[in-house]
Order: sequence, then structure tokens, then C-alpha cells
Amino acid sequence: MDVLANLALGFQTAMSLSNLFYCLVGVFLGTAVGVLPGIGPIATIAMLLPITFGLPPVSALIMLSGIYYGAQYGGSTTAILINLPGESSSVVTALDGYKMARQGRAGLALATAAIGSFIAGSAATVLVALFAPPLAELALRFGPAEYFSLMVLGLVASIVLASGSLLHALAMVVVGLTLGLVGTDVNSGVARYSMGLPQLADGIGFVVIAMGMFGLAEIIANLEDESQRSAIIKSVTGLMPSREDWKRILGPIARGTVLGSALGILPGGGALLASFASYSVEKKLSKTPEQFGNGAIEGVAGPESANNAGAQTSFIPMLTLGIPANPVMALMIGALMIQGIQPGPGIITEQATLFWGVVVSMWIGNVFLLILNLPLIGLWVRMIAVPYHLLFPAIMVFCAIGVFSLSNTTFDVYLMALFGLLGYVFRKLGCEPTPLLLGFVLGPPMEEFLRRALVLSEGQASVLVTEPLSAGLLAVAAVLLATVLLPSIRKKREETFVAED
Amino acid sequence: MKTKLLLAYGIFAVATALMTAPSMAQDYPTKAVRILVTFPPGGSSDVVARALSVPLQKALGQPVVVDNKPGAGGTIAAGEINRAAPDGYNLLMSNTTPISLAPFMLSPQPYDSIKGFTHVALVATVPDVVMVHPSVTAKTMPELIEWIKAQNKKVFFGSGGVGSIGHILGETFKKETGLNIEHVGYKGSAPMITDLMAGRLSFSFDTLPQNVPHMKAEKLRPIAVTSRTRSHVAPDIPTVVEAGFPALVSENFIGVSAPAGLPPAVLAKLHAAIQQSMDDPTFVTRLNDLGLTVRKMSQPAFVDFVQKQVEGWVEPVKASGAKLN
Repeated sequence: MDVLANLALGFQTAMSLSNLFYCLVGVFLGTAVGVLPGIGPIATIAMLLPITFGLPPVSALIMLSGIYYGAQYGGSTTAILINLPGESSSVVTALDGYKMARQGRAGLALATAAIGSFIAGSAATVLVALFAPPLAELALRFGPAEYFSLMVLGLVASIVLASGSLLHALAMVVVGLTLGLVGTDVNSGVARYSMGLPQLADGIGFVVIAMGMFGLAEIIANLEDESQRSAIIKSVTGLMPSREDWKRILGPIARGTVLGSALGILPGGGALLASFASYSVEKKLSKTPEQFGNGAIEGVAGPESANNAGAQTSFIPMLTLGIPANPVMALMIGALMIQGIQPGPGIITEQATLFWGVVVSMWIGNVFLLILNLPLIGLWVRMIAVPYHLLFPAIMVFCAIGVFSLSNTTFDVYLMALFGLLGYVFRKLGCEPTPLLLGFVLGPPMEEFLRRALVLSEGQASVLVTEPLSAGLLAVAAVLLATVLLPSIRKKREETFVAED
Repeated sequence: MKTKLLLAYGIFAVATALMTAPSMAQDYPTKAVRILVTFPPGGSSDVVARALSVPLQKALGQPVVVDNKPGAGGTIAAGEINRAAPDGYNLLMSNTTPISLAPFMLSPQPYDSIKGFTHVALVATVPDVVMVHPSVTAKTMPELIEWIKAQNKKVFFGSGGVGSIGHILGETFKKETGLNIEHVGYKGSAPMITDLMAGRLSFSFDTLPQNVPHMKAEKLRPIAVTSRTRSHVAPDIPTVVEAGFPALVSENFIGVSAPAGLPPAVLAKLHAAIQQSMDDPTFVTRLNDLGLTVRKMSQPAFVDFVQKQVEGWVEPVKASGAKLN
């Protein structure tokens, strides 16, 4: 009853003409910056911040949120079309999405991503509306030990992700972990492997590595033989999923939504695991795991849903505890504070209009995104038909602008070029970049949480198994590792690999 | 011939200098002014820069562009302004971290925090707050000390990161009291506050404003603010001076600085424009809402303020042992 009254208040707020307008502006801008490689929601929101000063707080937050989840939506577009993931969440989408695009199924991949995102976004919004306060308490239950074990599980799952040789995948994870060591140590403040360069004091940026290893390396590889590429892209078949496709994607979408929603609640980096976790689950459950990495539609549907659900539920710690789950959320808190509203435990009751208005606007925004994106797919698909000698310089320029805009420094652009070359070499050696990125993304928080857990327990490593949640997560990781390493399964896995080759 | 040529060059150089230099100082500004922020978007100094840019555009009659260049405790942005041309088009949103703390944790020190800049105007100050998890029974500083002693084991406190103001304050507190406490570092305040609210940490030092809602909801309990006078955001919280710990006073500032050697005419114009912007009622309301205290000061007084700040932090920074490279 209470929820209904609250939702009515939310609809009343969000459906006002001006708020609908700001929601539309937000998701439109979000899609646009999501599609442009490298230019993320942070830079966009920062630039628009002074504009929001003059708006009512609800409208401001509705627009800024729209930019955030709109960018998650748009990010998958470049991942699928040109193998260029702009955020950690779309790295996984690139795996099968790009393969689908090369098989002439780019439209289907994009439609699947849009539909999956819509279903997941809508479901997660309901979750936020119904359970936000109790779920927020759950976020506090996750301490350093629990987060560490969660990251271990994620890392083990990452091995499942690889479609090539197991040894290569492991090696790439280690390279990623090593790259993650660069930067200032959180415990002592000592700079590690920064070679005296202040630009490396805060570590290497994710976008820099991703743009280099995926985007630039892909371009170099494509330039080897342009005729081959055009031949592959030539035929683009049906945009909308067929009845058969629907059967294949509904399960992954549902599971992805659940996984993403659950992980998104954890402010300490749960959301970045969502798409990886979903991909691993789908590959494990699939009757045809050999299709994963070769254009499996489930490999797009699941992770995209998980990533969007996670983007929605990551609002829970911000709206109910005042704790930002990521830099974008921190920026939104800044925008609210400047309006005289301090996000915190009291916000749901004190600012009921704001809270429910924003929650309902998220659902409306998801509808907008679907309406906005489905017709655009035809346009995007035509984009890859543009002759490559015209397309690739444009991609490179956008990559350079995007990377530069991260912290306004050319250093990052040179670094991206370096990773582009490295990515090309790895490619030639038959090493996939995805496990490397996973190691890079998961390594630093894993180390940080482990060391914090050990500091707080005064060196008692047993804390990792005496905390029930942590022990449970480690147990799951152990089981998963066993299934990967068991000889019979491994043999089967390698046979598939050879067959694919 | 050669001398004549040199002379001609010399006259030409002086003439061009004469033609451009005075026009620069008097007509300033003739193009967009850039303010470099030392932290990523969303932090206090970023929001202040963006809020200030609105009235400052009107006062200067030219666009004011806010750029973020985060990294290495803000020393990357501050270093860039330190090396920039002193023409008034490159400004720094200066604050405690890149001016008073971070450069002293780097070797070699990247710039002279006082002589390396023309410190133009103070804009605002903001205090830290000492706060505890509700399970800690202490309500005052002496009670907190008693409580820590009564635990008979190591007690943990958190901060937004190694070398942050909260960390240095905590180490100063440890040195003053000789208590058995240990610092736990985080990447920013948000994850630290999460652990404090969950009770994994017992107490912490952190910037006051963003923690007020947690205190209102009784998820955290304030003990003292680190300013000399009580904060308008939470006037019930006593100061560390009242509690008998003047060594813990820290007035984190946010101001505008330019490269050293800014022409006096430009400096005067810029200072006046910032003062005028600070009279803007919406700007004042916004900063108050952020929990910051708008503070006006003459330019020489600001230089003096920065100098005292830097001198005051040198010892605690050294004692804390924090290093950035």
C-alpha cells in the first residue's frame, strides 16, 4: 500500500513535462557519450554541472542519472561494432558481440543488447523501489574479507571466460595483475613501478589500456588486410531477434538481471563483476559452450542485462546511505549538495519526492532508451559499411580525444599507443586481451581488500574463512576452479579449442 | 654590421614587448580564463571552481573554463600552473593537499608552495571532524582517549588515504596522546565511511560536510570539529580547541592561485573580480549548502595564511612518514 502511494508520488513527479524532458535529454546525451569511445559519463556530467545549479534538484538528478545509465547503454554499441569497449562493463560484450558483427549479425547483437538492457533495467528499478532500504544494510555487511573473496571468485571465473588456451589465459591474467600494481600503494603511500613519473602515481587508467589493447590493436590487425574485412561485413541480416533467438536470450537476460542486481548493490566494486559473472554463468550453463567467443548471442544478452541491472541498483547505496559506488555517483552527490540536499540515510523520508521521482524516472528513461536505440540500430549497422580507410582514422581520433579527456594529459594518449602495439603483439602470439583486462580490473581492489582485512585482523589470515560470507564465496571459487582444472573437463575444453582453430 | 643587426633585433624585441605587455595587463582578460582543478570532478574544490566560474565570468567579462587534472595528490595540476606563463589566463584552484601536504611527500619536491605561486584570493575553508562508530561510548575527546585505553588492544582509525589531512591529523593525535592506535588507508572517503558505519573502524578524521547526514541519522557520532570556531553546518559540535587539542586544528582552504610573477595590474583585477564574485548571494548560499565557510581576505593576508598553513603542516607530514614516491 505504502509502496503504491510512493510510486504514485514518483510517477506524478517524473511524468511532469519538464522532468520528462530532462530525462530525455539525459538519456540522449548518455547514449551519445557512450557511443563515442573513451568519452565517459564523468566528463559529461562535470561539464553539465553548472547547468544543473539552476534546475530543481529532482530534475537535475533525473538528468544526471539518465546520462549515467544511458552511457552504459551506448557503451555496448562501439564494443559490438568496432571491438572498442569504453568501460569495464562492455569488455565482455565485445567478446561475442564483435564476433556477431563480423558474421553480419551486428543488428541482431545491438537489438539483443538493447532489449536485454531494457528488461534488466526495468526489473532492477522495481527492485530499487521495493527493497532499497533493507538492501542498503546488506551493503554494510560486506567488509574487506568478503570483498576479497568475491574478487577471488571473479578472478577464477575469468579463466572460464577465455576461449583459447588455458595457459595463455592464465598468463594474461598475471600480466593484468602486474599492470595493476603500478601506482601509489594504498597502505603505505609508496609509489610502485611509477618510474618517477607523476602521471603514473595514480596507476594506469582502465580506459587507456582498453582503448589500446582492444581498439588500436584491432585497427592495426584490420589494416593487415582490408579486403578480408570488407568481405566479412558485406551481408547484414535481420535486425530483430527471431522466435528462435528469443528462446535463446530470455534465460540469459533473466539470470543476468538477478546477478547484476545483486552485485550492483555492493559499493566496493561489485558492479564491475556483474558482466563478467554473467558471461561465466552462461558459458557454464550452455549446452554449446564452444560457441562462446565465436558469436554466441547468449554472451551478449546475459552480460548486457547484468551490466544494466547493476547500473540501476548501484544507486541504492547512494540514495539510501549517501555512499557513492563510483566516481559518477560522487559527482551526483556533489550536484545534490550544492542544491542544499545531503544524500544520506534520511533522504527517503525527508526528500520523498526526490527519491521516488528519480526511481520512477529510471524506468521511464529505460523506455526512452529502447525507443531511441532500436531505430538507431539500422544507422549504426550502416556505419561499419563505411570504407575502412575512412573509418579507422575517425576511430583513432575519437580514442585519442576520449583518452585525453580523462585527465587532460597527452601522457595517456602516448600510453594508449604503447598498449596498442602491445595488444597487437599479444594478438599475434594468440593471447586474448580480455583476461588481461580482468586481472587489471580485479587485481588492485583484491590486493587492497586483502591487506586491509589483514591489517584489521592484526595479521590473522584465518579471518578469510571464519567470516561465513567470505568462506562461502571462497568455497564457490574452489569448486569452480576444480571444474576448470579437472583433467577430463580440461581435455574436452582443449579439444573444442583445436576444433575451432 | 653584426652589432647593428643585434641592435635592430633588440629594438624590435623591446618594441614588441612594449606593445604587448602593457595591453595584456590593462586589458586583461581578453580571452577565456582557465581554472585548473587538482582533483577529479565531484570533490569540494571542483564544485567550488564550477560554482565560482558562474559569477566570475560576469565579473571578468570573459568565459571561465574549469579543467580537471587529477593525480599525485594534486601536484600534477599545481606543477603545471607553477610552470605556466604568469599572464592571468592559467589559474589553480589551490587547496591544502597540493599546497601544504603532497609536495612535501615527494622527493624532489616538485615546486615551492609559497614562492612558486602568486596566491590570489582565499575563497573558503572547511573543517575536518573527529567521529566515532555509535558502539564507541565516548562523546568527548577525553572520553575517546579513555575509551581507547580501556580497550587494551589496538584500535583502528581510517582516513581518505595515506597523506590525506585525516591521516596526518590521526598521526598527530597518536603522537600527542601516545595511544595504541593504527591508521587504515583507503582510496577516498566513501569506502572508509562505509567501514566506519559498519563498525570495522572505531573512529576517523574526515571532512565535515558530507558526514553531517550520517550524524543526523545516528550512524556516526561526532566528537569535535578541527576548526578554531564552530561550523555553521553543525553548530552543536565542539571544536578541538574547546576540547583541549589545539594541535589538531586544521583549516583546509580552497583558494585561487596563479603562477609566480603575476603582473600587479592583473593580480589586482583578478583579486577584485573574485571578491566581487564572492558577494554573489547564490554563490554564498551554494557554498554554505556544501558546508563550506566563505572567507574573504586581502591578498597579502592570503599569502600570509598560506605560508602559516605550509609551515604548520611540515612537521606533522614529516612525522607521519607519508611518502608519495
